[in-house]
Amino acid sequence: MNIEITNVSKKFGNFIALNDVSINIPKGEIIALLGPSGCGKTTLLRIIAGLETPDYGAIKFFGEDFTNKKVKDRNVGFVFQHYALFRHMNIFENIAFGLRVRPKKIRPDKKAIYENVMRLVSLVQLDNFVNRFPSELSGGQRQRVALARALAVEPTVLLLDEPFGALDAKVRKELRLWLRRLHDEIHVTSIFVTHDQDEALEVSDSIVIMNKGKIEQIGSPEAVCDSPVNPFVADFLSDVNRPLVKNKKKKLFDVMNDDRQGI
Amino acid sequence: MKMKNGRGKIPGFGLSLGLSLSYLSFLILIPISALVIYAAKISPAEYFNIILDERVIAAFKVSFFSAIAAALLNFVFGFIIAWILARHNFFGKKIVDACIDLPFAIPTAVAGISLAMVFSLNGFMGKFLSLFNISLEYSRAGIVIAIVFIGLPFVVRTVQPVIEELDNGVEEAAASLGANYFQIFFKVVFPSVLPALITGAAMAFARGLGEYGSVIFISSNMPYESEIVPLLIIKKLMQFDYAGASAIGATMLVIAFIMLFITNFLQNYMIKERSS
Repeated sequence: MNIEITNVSKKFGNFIALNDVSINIPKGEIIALLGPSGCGKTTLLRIIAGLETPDYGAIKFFGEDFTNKKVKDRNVGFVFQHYALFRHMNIFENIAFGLRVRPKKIRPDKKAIYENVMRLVSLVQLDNFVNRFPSELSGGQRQRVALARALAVEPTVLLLDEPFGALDAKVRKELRLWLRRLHDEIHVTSIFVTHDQDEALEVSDSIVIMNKGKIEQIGSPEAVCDSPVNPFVADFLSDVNRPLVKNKKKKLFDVMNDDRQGI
Repeated sequence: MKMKNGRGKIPGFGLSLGLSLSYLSFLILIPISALVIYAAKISPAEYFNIILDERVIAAFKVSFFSAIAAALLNFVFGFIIAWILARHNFFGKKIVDACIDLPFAIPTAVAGISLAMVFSLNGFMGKFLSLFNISLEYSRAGIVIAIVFIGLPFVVRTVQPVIEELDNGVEEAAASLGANYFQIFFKVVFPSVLPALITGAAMAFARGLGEYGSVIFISSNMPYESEIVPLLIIKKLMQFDYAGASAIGATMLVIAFIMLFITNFLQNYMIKERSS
């Protein structure tokens, strides 16, 4: 039961974005795609989502071939770097969108939608904001709305494209610990793209380090830090904040306390 | 908006405000007040006598409904044209893009004459339409076509930049949430463009209401049938009926003002709904 990516390649004109990439992502884990800009990590994420189609290779979700499936039929939750919220809808409507656009047969009734949305809103701690519009929220709040909107459709996999990239350093730190905690709560298989080493080490169960369209190393945060397989990985991770890895559990606990004070 | 108090980095608020106000006064306020003052010389009874004249009312109806029909047509087709220009690349796009501005550039009389030629019974379109027993020349439909022609750039040029600025991610987000093309368009894209579309259509309507040059060539200008208000004003002026002309002119002014007021209100309402 997992997501299999086999021999995926993608070219944009003459630029090779992905060159024969294969990964196997276990169910329930949170994986970071880490690498310098232009390494193909976002392209890979978009191919998993169905927003791009690979030139070669196959994507399987839990054994079923998804390579040619349209994005709307994949049941993925996608979180964008710049939130991509619907400006003309309030927070409630934004989160309810995925449920409201379902075909009549499988669309939940009004009450079920309401309950679902309210549950998600309190999960992302925005209970008092349901009637606000995206323009009235801070960046961190908007990204949490985007997350709740993606979770509303109960996705088989949650895909996050540099989810904290547009936020300032402090909010970014708070939000990534919060995401880790959220994942510990709901255990949805998650893949997130980042170019920030600390972020990848702190949040993920395992890290896929990419460079120039190829995978350099796959492993747990400890493994990639302690035994890099080649000079690129060693160099790329040379200036990371090592205590983050070791203190992960302790940090999490701190966050839960910090959280009470309101992020 | 930070410069609201005139405290921006660049000085000269007083000077530029003074210039703006005098410019507006000379060009717009003084001529308009002259019209209002002239119209005010007539007694209310006389005024209503002129305005409620059957021919005047008929002309207002023709102008009003033609402008509305044209604005609605431009609302739909202007949006589609703006959409393909903003979203797609195709052979000859630059030329199409340039053509949109032609109605701004060419004298309206020229537009009227060419439209009349094309749609006359001997013209290229007229011959084709006469096969179906449709005659646009000298009919109200002809008036609408002339006004559509004049109003198109207002809609396209207002909506096009808004479509260009739409975040592609929003559509991808909707798709990933399971929305089909129809839902993405009507629930996500269209509501984002609607305020601009309304502004564009309202401008096209306001412009169409006062359009004279192109309409008189294609319309038969029959009183009670296909006579537009601006033409009626000209006719009154030619008969030295200045009071009548200014009374109708002042009424047009009030209608234009109300129209702009409603559009602004609608726009503010939609923007407020978004941010309150």
